[in-house]
Amino acid sequence: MAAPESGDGNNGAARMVTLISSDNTRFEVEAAAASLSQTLQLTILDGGGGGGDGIPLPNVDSATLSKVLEYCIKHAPAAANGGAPNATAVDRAELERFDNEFVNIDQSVLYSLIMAAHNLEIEGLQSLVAKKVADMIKGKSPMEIRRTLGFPDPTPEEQAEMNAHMLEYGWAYE
Amino acid sequence: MKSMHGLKLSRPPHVVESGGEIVDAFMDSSHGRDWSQLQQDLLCRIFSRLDLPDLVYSGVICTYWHLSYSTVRRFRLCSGNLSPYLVYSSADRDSHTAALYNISLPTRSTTLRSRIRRSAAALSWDPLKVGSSLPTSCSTCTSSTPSAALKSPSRRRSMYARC
Repeated sequence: MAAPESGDGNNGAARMVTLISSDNTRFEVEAAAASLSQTLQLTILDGGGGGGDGIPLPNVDSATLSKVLEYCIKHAPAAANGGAPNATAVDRAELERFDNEFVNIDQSVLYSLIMAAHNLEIEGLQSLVAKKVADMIKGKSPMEIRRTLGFPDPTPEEQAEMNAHMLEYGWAYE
Repeated sequence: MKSMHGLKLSRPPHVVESGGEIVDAFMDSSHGRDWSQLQQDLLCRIFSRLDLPDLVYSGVICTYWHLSYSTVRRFRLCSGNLSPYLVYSSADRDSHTAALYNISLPTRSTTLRSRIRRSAAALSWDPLKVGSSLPTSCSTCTSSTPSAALKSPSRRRSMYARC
């Protein structure tokens, strides 16, 4: 877990970096956790984000960033082990349990998360969220998918277009 | 240690300085989220995890999603661990209809049909005129055994395909 104390993280303790969300909230996390983001990794390797200056993330708000960092902090130890070849089954089960609970969230948060994971290039999180959205789609009819994801009800033209698509591509359930 | 799951209720432990209200930020995140405008590569990532029936249905819900659906189909971005489909035609349907069967989705896929259109490049074969040496759309699918399909008298020709 990230320690809230800032300061000279370079000697002894794990190196800390500061991330600044779009609404100017500063988050301090271990460099190892933030490095799960491919976008941030290079900056951190170059020595950025430490000390007084943080790394600004203008595309990510504080609510989303705290959620993203929650994921990163949890997954950082396993990632540091290089995919955790020696992780115990218990560790893996614990991560899986965490992941399942992690994406059990409101759709709007899920949406923010998928955008943030994309912007920050966090591969594991991208897969996790994509899987969750795919699970939300599975087993539903087109109209049910629209309703699930909060699409407005189709206009008559859109409805006609949907029907035409189904006919054009000839897919049908008997 | 504070629970990391109580983020909506308490300030997360790694926030050291707040320039705005955390609670407001959560509320702000509830509007302006339009799944219909999700970037194409993200949609493709989601679609690549869907089984064929779900993929087809996602492809018709709006024009924009249809683009991603087409991309997933065209570049065969389907996830490698989806189970294969048996594509077959039968005497009780016309010669341009193929039925799909997936052993892992018996209740849904037995009834998924596709009209075979000669103009459609991906499916431009006539199941009644071409033999069982048809090219499969995915080589990994050929590991399935065709014997079950061939035993059925109503299935004249069969092939295995993935979306």
